[in-house]
Amino acid sequence: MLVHYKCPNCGADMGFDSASGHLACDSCGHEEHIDTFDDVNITQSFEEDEAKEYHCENCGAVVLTGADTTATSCSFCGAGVVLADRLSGELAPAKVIPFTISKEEAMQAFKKWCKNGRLTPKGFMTADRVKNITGMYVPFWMYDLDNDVEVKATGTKVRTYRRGDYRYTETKYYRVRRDIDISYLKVPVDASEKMDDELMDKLEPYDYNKLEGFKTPYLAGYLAEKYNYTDDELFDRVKAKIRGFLDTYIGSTVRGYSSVNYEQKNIRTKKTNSYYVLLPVWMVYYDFDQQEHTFAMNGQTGKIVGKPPLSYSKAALWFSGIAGGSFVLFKTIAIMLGGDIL
Amino acid sequence: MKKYLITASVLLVISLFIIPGVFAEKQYIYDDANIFTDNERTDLEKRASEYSEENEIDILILTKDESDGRDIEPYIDDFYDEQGPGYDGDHGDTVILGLDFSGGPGDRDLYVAGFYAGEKYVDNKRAAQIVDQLIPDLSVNDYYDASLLYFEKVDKYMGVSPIVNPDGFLLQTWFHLLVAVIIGAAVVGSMIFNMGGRVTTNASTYLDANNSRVKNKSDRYLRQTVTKTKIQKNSGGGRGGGGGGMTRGGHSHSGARGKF
Repeated sequence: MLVHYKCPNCGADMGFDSASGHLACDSCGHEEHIDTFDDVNITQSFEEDEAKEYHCENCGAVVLTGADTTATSCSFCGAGVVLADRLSGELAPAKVIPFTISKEEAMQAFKKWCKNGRLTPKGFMTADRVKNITGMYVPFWMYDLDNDVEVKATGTKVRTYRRGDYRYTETKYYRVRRDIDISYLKVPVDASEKMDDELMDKLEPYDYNKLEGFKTPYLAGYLAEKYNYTDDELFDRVKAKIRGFLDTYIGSTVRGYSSVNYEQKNIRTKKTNSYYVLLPVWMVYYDFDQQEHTFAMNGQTGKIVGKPPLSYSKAALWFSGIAGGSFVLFKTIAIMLGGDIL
Repeated sequence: MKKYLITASVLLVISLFIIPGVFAEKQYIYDDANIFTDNERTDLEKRASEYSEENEIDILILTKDESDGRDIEPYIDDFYDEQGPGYDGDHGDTVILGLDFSGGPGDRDLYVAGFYAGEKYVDNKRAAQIVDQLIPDLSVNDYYDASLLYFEKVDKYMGVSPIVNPDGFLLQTWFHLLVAVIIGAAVVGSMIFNMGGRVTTNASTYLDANNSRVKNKSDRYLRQTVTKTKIQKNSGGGRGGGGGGMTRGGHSHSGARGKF
């Protein structure tokens, strides 16, 4: 089932506009609110063998899709189409954060980011070889988690004092026990096989105030994918992700000791809720020095992540500048205190 | 011949301006034990005068033998009270090295004392450092070289703020280089590490504070252990205790003693 949005005003293709948060028509500028968009203008087609081939509602051409694609543009006429059957039933997202950064803004922001690269090669900074910039809704699972934590530890308090010719070190040992409830809300884990987990983790955090109930028009004009892993399959990953948070929280409840040695941390993590959500990401593909570099931009906050190429000469320049500067500084202080010049 | 005379008189006039100390009547070397040759004594007087002018402090050397029964420290104290040396006037800024030749080799005392500015810049610790550095020369009866070293050390220490150890690593170039390289590497290293974007979530980003709490806690005292270590007294090489003191005339001073 393919969904395509037609402008009720002029009949041209409509797409999601990140600035207004509405469906907008490129030709006449007409805007439609997503919640009230009339079903009459949504053309849907049912295919016999849906898994194989989709035909564009607009021009009739075959829409080329990957197995996981849920939204794309017709490669022939450019109209944004949504593959609704891949977004229904089990595969229906609960929530979506719409794009708030447009393609132009993303491009500008990326160029600015490249220019500020203090350690990137000069040629890279101009950002003139951006091959492709793609707006994409990446599938995530968000987990609400309750953790029941039991901690057993030994804490020490150390005091030193002097009596006569001796220095005494007194170490007091304590048996520390804690029973803690720790809850986390909406911890996101990317559920797409294609996306680099580390890259996606760095894109966080998103502003959850803009989390909307899912509606297909949000996807019009963007790429979107369906999840490859279920929430159960990714449960271990979200547990690993909050492990550091849990340790920080546990540490904050054991205060006032010189040292703490944990003998036992019993953590029982229970999933109270999980949501399938689509989060907005601008993917930037950049050819530099015969290598393709991939960057990702948070489509809501504009945060950019990805490993840019490193200019060794610039790194050396920074190093010598900082090291040389601090050397001169130390030397100056030493000379002011009466040290020799060499 | 005439030319030679002119040159000599010109040199004399110049030296009058350059080293007025030579012609002052101040005495810096009180060699009661007669350990220096006449040449050495003249030379040391001249150098002592130069170093004293340069550092605006009187730098003296006293020697004594068994004909005076006093210990070297009271000997220096009494000398200071009686003679009242000092660059800035009577009983003023002075550093004194005292050598006592009463005992046999290995049992002879030396003492370095600082008065007023000398007490500030050649404090107990620095006096001890000087003592330590003089002992090798003194032990092989090289009194002249030891005296030169004494002048150099006082000259150096007077220029270094009392808050740092003049012979410590803080003033060493290798230390500055090392710290500068470490800072440079750390800063550039973290820049490279953060090039790909930083993780900006933390433990509180997803925390549901309303439903997170400590349900039960207990901190039970188990036992205690006490270890004791003897506090080490400084007793390196031939240097004994020492420390400063007060002269009978009421002048406070720093100091350190040793044996050679």
